[in-house]
Amino acid sequence: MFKNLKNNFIGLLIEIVFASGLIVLGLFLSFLFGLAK
Amino acid sequence: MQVEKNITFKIIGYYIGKIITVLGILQLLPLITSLIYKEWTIVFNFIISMSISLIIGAVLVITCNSGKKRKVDWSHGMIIAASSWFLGMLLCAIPYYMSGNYLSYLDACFDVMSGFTTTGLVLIQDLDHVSNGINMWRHFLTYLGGQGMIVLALTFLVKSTSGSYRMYVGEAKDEKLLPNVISTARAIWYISVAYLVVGTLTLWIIGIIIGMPIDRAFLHGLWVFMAAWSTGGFAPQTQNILYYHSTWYEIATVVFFVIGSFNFALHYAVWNRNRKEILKNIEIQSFTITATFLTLITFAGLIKLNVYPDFISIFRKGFYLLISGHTTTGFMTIYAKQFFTDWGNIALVAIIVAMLIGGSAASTAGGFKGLRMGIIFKGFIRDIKRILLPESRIQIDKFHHISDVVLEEKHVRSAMFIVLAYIATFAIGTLGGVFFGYPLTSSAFEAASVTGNVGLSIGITVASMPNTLKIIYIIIMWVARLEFMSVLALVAYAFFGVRKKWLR
Repeated sequence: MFKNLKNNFIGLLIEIVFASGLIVLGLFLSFLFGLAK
Repeated sequence: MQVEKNITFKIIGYYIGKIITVLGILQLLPLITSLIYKEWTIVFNFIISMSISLIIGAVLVITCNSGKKRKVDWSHGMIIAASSWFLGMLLCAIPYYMSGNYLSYLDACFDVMSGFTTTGLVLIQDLDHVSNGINMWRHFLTYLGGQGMIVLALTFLVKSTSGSYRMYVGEAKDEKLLPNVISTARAIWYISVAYLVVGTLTLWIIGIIIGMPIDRAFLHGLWVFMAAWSTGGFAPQTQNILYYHSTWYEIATVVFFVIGSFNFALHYAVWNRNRKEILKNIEIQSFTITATFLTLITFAGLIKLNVYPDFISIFRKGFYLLISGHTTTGFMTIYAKQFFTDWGNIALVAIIVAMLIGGSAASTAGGFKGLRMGIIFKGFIRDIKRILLPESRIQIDKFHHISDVVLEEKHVRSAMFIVLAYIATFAIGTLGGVFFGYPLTSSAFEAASVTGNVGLSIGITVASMPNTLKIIYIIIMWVARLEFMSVLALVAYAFFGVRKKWLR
């Protein structure tokens, strides 16, 4: 694991993108509910 | 029999001594921080506290040295894990208490246990003017607690034996990333430290952009990251994340605490080319489904009461707090009392459920975990299939967690046991609040926060709350974080005389 920096870094980026995707989902749902107000 | 009793004591004493020694050495970090900022009283406090820990640790290691070569069985591993968390609390509270920021030693112990268990509830006084040394210690403790004290000791001080794995499991981390438990512990630290660098840098830059001085932005970035990654919820200001009034700070913290709530086995898989695991894993799927469903309920409750004027506010308050609760972080973007005065019961129920479910198993998060939620759901679907399909048909159900696992009765039973234990603990915490005169909804909210090691507060957890309730909350935080078995083993060992069974 410790010798595979490139793959580790890609893994880290994938996790950040996934978590950011959750935020986009939250923003989208907020927007929908904001419209429904 | 007396000889065997001594051997058991020596095995437990030796490893606890090692862990206490590590905790003593770690006080160097806040001590150096205080030295840099010329906080001389705090430096003195840490020297005393460090000396006490090192002396007790050394005495235990020396007097119990013969326990080093003995076999550590399951009961020893469990007792070592539970005892070291409790003794660690008593010792790490010394600099807190000596700082003068706490009204009593009990309050200091409460905050240490809250930090260790990554809960994030606080009883500290005048947080906005707390020294940098104490703030460093608060956030460092929660960062260590997220990874686990046993994991830390295994990384640095304990040699690999079969007993190492038993202690590791005693700390409610039962996933081996690598065949060797010491390598597993080191991999956990490797991942956490890599994120520490990325996260601190990100929050440091955002801090500078929003106008904080460079050194202050760095310290806040470091501390807030430590609390986010460990799903702890501590912050250096009374207003918590609300203090920064920054959407970017909020977005960055959500990213880091969501990732912090992932299973270390998942991190390891994704970091080692098994990238699709993040989409296939049962815990991630379970988390995404429950988070989406509970977000909808929270929003419906907030919209019904017209709590926030626009969608940005709904996102920054409603979504942020729901995910903060679901990942068991406890960062807040509103004042505690606003839950009670503004949010209404629908949103509160959603957030209570989110706090109880929590994050992933073998992560820094609390709650009864998405893995168990997924397993119980799969078990439920399997039972329905059994009713609907012909009896002769053999049904094999699987769930995916790192690899495909055949769903067995023992998985469902074990998951159900832990979930029931969490619900019983939540009920006890709620009853405790109601007994001391708090409203039922508030008591349930605070109990869910304590049981799930979350840290969101509706206003019950303050220094003036009854001491008995503080003790109840300390015990719940401790028991829930270690997922019951270790503490139950310790209680059984101490009170019920089942030692005979274990002594060999």
